[in-house]
Amino acid sequence: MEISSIKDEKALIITASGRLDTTTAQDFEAKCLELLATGDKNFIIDLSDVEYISSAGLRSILSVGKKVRSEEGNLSFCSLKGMVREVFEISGFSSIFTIHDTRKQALEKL
Amino acid sequence: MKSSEPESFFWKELTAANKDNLGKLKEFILGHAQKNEVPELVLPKIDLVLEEVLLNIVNYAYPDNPKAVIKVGCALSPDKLNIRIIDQGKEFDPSAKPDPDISLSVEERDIGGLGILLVRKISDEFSYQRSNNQNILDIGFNLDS
Repeated sequence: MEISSIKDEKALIITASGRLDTTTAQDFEAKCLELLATGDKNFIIDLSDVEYISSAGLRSILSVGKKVRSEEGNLSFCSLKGMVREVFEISGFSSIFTIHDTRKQALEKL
Repeated sequence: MKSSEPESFFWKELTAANKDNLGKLKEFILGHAQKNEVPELVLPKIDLVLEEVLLNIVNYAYPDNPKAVIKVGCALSPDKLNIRIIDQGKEFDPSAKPDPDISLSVEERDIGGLGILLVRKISDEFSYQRSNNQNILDIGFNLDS
């Protein structure tokens, strides 16, 4: 799994790619928490290149979400595809988090 | 219906199973599925369901047990993939786990319990039996949709 970030004027955009599973979830969570600590308040996690997510991945996302909320920040997700979208829907994550179809929409809605 | 009856199972056994080598069992089933032209769309579902179920077995049927043995088998028929997972660990029925409340907010949501919910929703069949001191899980995927 690769994680990178881009600083937009309105938000910090975190891009992940690959598999978000038992072996990568902890690393993903640690990197996100590191990025959260840089002082931004608005975050978008772009999942367009994530092809697979398991419950371990969901747990890491929930931890990141709890952290952002506790600091009164704003977190949204964009560009979910295939089984990642399905897993978000089944687990209720589609309704507890803000989800946008594209990164552009996510930025516009801030 | 004759066509939905599984053919004989192909088996693989993993000794000293732990969370780091479970991939071998997953690869065996996925390899068998690919070789037999199971539709592409079903493969990530099999992948996910096996990850969740096998992790649960390691964590709950074999807590801190270096001698964990897990056996997986699969059988294909034209319209169905059947997977059977057998272990000799403590009695553990993942199908009896209650689903987490998915209507709670981010702050209220508990961090666990999502794995089996995913298994239940993504597989087409999920059942458990305890027999001869073994946990036996049967998981089915429809291939005709």
